[in-house]
Amino acid sequence: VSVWLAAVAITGATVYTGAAEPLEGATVLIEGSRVQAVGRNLGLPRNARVIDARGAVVTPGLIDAFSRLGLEEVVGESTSVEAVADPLADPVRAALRAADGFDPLSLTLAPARAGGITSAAIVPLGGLVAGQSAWVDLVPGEPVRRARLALHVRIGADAGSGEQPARPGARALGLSRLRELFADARLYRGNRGPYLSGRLRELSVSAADLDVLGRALAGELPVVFRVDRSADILRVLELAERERLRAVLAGVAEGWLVAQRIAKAGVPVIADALDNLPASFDKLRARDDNVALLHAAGVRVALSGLGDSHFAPRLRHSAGNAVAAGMPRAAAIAAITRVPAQIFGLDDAGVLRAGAQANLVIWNGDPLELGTWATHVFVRGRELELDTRQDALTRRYLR
Amino acid sequence: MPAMLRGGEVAGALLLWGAFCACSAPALQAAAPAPAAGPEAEPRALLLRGGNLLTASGPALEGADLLIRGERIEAIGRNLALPRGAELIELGGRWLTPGLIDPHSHLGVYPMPMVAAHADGNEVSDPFTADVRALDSFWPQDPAIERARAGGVTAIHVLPGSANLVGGQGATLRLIDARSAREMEFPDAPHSMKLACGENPKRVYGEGRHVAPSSRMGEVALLRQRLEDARAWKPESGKGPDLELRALRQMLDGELLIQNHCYRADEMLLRLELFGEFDVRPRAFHHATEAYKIAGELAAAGVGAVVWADWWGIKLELWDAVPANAALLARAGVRVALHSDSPYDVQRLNQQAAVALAAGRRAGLELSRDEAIRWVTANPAWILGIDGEVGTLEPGKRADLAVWSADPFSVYARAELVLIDGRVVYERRAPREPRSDFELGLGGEP
Repeated sequence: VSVWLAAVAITGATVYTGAAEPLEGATVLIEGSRVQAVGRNLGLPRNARVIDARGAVVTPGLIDAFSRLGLEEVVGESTSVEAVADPLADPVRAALRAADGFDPLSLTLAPARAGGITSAAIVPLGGLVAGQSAWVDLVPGEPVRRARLALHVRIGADAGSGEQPARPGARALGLSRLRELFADARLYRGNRGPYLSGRLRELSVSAADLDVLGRALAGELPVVFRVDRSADILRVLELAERERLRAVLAGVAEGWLVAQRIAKAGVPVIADALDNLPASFDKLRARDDNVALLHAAGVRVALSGLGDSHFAPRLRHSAGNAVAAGMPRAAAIAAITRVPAQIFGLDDAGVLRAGAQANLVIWNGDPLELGTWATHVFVRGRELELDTRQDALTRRYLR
Repeated sequence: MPAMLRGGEVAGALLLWGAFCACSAPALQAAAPAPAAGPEAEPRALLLRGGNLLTASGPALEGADLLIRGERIEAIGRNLALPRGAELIELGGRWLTPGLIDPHSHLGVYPMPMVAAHADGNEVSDPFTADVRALDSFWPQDPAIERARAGGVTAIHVLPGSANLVGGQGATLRLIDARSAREMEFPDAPHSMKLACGENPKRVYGEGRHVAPSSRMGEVALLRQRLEDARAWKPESGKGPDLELRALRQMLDGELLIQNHCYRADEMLLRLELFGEFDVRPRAFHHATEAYKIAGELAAAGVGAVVWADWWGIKLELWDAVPANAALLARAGVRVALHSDSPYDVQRLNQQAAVALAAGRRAGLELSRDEAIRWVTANPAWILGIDGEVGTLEPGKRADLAVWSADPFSVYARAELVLIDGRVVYERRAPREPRSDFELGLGGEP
């Protein structure tokens, strides 16, 4: 069943299309779930709904590239938290899909949407190989756009437990286990028949996991490595090159120390612009301008709070802080729109041009600023309600 | 952006910032006139000229000057005369605020890196540890301290954590380089007693150790008994001094400000009732997530509320958090302060104020920036009992202040200069070098 949606024309706005400079006084024309046109002096279809956006700013819907939205309600209550494997009992879970745990009714979604986020890569956590992320659009109905988005791997002292103390030697153990897994996956990929008839040597994980690892080896599935320490980053780059993986680095608190190497490898990163403390032995050399330095070295940078779903609305402010720390403004906006979409191969998201998915936000001022807010949010061409449970509580006690 | 000018009046001319100085922070001392000899000499003077002042005591003053003599603010106004021998900093239209104050911090007691060896913020051996003091755990080499200072923060209240019903004593510290917490203590600031209710104590003891308290009602019953013990306690009684009871008694006698961690409205109301039985009241509820539901009661009781701008949902007692909390409380006349409780957010308290202000405006509340700046300056100063000394830009107050590169309610603003007691403790343009011993020599410098 398809729902016919009237055309919407947003006129007179400053429009960030995905190009370096915004268009002034431009119109965005939406038809159905797609952007029909963006530009000045566009002819408007008859009966189009016109939103006068003079003085306002339009951006593509923001994208959180490493998110837990819809996978948790209350972080401290384990029964409300999804897609987290036991790091010790179940360190390799390639076949797990975060999409299976996603709840489109989660209360974490509305504040994120009110903060201008229209899509997210939702990630599994726990262990060495946590599983596969999904791409979700924050829209009712069928939010999951891609259920097998990328494979997620953790290299670090906490061995994917998210806790200190770490297991000693977790980094080397993790890397050696990964090499073993990819060797098994390669063997399995070429010998499925012998494996099924019991004529292949024993493999270290299940066929379901090997299938997914094999897709990563074939370049069909990007592999996101959650890694912070500069030495670990280099080891991961070596592994990714040897196994010919479509690697993405997430975290990279010490990335600035090896920025040239990351740039040379052509590997994009997902980083938290506010991660400036030596909070662990994985990031003793964390600093304020990490993302600015990575960008300056030529690395493609996406910004994310790296999994704080309740703090997702801060995404745009983190980009503003990245600008204050030296990242060019256009790069900071791209880091929460175009770059995360490109990283996962969704070229019609994170941009506003003819044919793009009509995910966009109208802001009452600079979208990176603290005193502005979203006045309209469109996802797949539908304008969505911005009211949150917090707003309802506020109204109740405002009386 | 015009370069900020600084220099001395000695040569009768201004010196360009950085033109003569490739030295390390604080560079201002290099340009200071030679101190005059003799005890009768006037304390050094410093004129900050031509700024926009968010005073936290009244409306903003644009194009105003602020004169510091010694440790204190001497005068504020337009076209102040430059005293003979005074140093001069041209603000060039930059913004000036009181130094920001974080009324709830665990810097130094849970320092970086966050490893077991550094976990000194909770004495998790008994639900009552009124005798422990956060300053005895505080590590002045915590690398998070200098980052907080770079965020314009000049004072913090360091508290024990919330594992215990009575967690111990908090202290107000200035963010100056020091070798011990004692050296950082804010002069004559009252100490506090940290109490907690709700999820944390019952989780740590009941769920974690199968000992009391294991429920909210158990928490209240235990606390009531302990307060009765403290009220009955006499210095000469017993086998020797009971330091724990003595500290609780000091709290009941009003010598320590009560800072009570409490999220839910129902628990805050019952806690007010409990304290009423002992003729005391808390100075403030901290993490007061649902304070907006009882704003009238808090205002009537004269109890402050220490809240976050945008935290919610990470635990169940944070479920009903609303970003308009601070704005709703301010409207009701509650002394509301924003706190960080975090080594990350303490670096951006000004941004927290901006976010809370925007949330109020989005909800339809008319609030001024002059009010919102108080949430991170004057109001936390009152909550810590140091409002006679800091928290506003007024003559007579200590010269703890921050100069911002832009409007401090903007995400792009950065503290360029931070002063404590009239001395520069942070200068953004100074060469980057770690201030903590811990980060020195890590190879993290550019």
